Amino acid sequence: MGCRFLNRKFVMLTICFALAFIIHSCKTKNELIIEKSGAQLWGENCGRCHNTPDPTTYTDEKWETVAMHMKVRANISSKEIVLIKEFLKSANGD
Amino acid sequence: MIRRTNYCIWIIIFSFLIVEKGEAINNDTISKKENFKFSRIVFSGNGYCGVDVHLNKSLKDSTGMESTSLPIGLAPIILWKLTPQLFIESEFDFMMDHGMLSGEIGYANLCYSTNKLGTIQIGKFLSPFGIYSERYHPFWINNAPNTPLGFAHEGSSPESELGVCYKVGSKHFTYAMYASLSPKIDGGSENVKNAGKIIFHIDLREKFNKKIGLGARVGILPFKNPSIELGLSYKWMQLEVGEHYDGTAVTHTHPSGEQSKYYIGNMYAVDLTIEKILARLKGKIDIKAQVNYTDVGTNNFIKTSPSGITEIDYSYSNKSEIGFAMLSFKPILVDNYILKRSGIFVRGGTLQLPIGSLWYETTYEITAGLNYSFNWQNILKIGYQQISTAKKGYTNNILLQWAVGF
Repeated sequence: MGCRFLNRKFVMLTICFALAFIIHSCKTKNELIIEKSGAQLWGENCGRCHNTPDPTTYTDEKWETVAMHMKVRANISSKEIVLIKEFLKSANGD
Repeated sequence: MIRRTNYCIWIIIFSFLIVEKGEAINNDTISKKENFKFSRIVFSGNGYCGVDVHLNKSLKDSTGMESTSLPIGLAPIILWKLTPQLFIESEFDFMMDHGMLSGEIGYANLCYSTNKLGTIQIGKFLSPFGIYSERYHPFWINNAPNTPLGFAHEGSSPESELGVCYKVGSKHFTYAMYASLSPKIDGGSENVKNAGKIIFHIDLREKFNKKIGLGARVGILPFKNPSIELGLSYKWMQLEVGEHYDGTAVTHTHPSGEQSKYYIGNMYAVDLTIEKILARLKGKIDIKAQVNYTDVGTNNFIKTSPSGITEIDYSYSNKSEIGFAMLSFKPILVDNYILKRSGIFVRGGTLQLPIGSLWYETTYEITAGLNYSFNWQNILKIGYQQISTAKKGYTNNILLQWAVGF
């Protein structure tokens, strides 16, 4: 029983990895950019877990706080969170 | 009772809205220094309500309740950036199911974060063991209308930790290391059949386990974009046994045969996240999966009668496994306004509790359905779920849920 269960898990993980590589092989134009902009990092990092928020959702001050919360929650690197923050503040019209 | 608790929830919602609006008005009158302090407070949160209909009307769930439930939840969140490095985050969870209201602190911690050194969290924080608890537990983020098997509140996976956590992220790797109070082992005080279960749920009102546990997670992002993340987690725990039911004892035996006052538990998890826009399919594909494996060694379970005669005496290997994999697709690149906000999901899950224990169960689930996002934090979901258990057979459910972040 346990062996059959482990086999099932192994098959599930193998399928997941195979899917990962198939999907990754479908390249998009964005991946050709070497230096990523704050806007691109915002789309990539926020969209990993949830729908991307509208920059106008918060003021500059509030984005400071929310960005820190997200840095802790998703373990986003300091360099990337600074770029994301700059983009959100520039695009929120505050 | 239900009406009264509903009023309580609405009072809390309106209180938050009033405080948020009041803060905006007050900002005009207070000094610049105070303005800096308080303008960086964010009142946020999430809530949900839904209907779970069990189609097999002859079957009742394990708690013996009715076959239809109306789960409601509200989780107000307060975020406060005190200085460029210091930050406070807290969440209070209110839940109501089957007419029972419960509330507790979901997390409350102080963070110190610097660009070079990473982040330190102190207090009650969401467990970085795997990804579900930390990143996907709010229902406005979860594409499905309920939680995977074993990951629910008071389930078989750690939701939060009480201790210290250190996190650091880079382009290709993320690390989280933590020392926290270990969970307890159920001594069977409330239900003798549960003796030996790990109680991951931290209730700040109850007596803590004084033993310390250590854990770590490494996230690997192998490509230039973070669309794929593979996570490996490990947790080591010293588990104290809770209060015993009369005549019940759970003892742990080392391979040498010596008995110990506490257990040593090891947990392992593998998680995977794939999120990718596929231009050919005009949409975004999203895969999330996690498998947990828990090993607490051999447990001896002894139950004696009031006269001292041993009624039950047996051993079992306290090992359990839970896991889920979910595939979602949203056609976000199509022109149709309604279609681009819609999505489909399929989730499979498994829960295997220790063979030979009184709480042994093997359960599988398959859930599939549709969702519609009104905006980035507002989602309506409908799903069909089939759960198969070794003891009860099949249960079919229809799940409807509306979840909002605010």
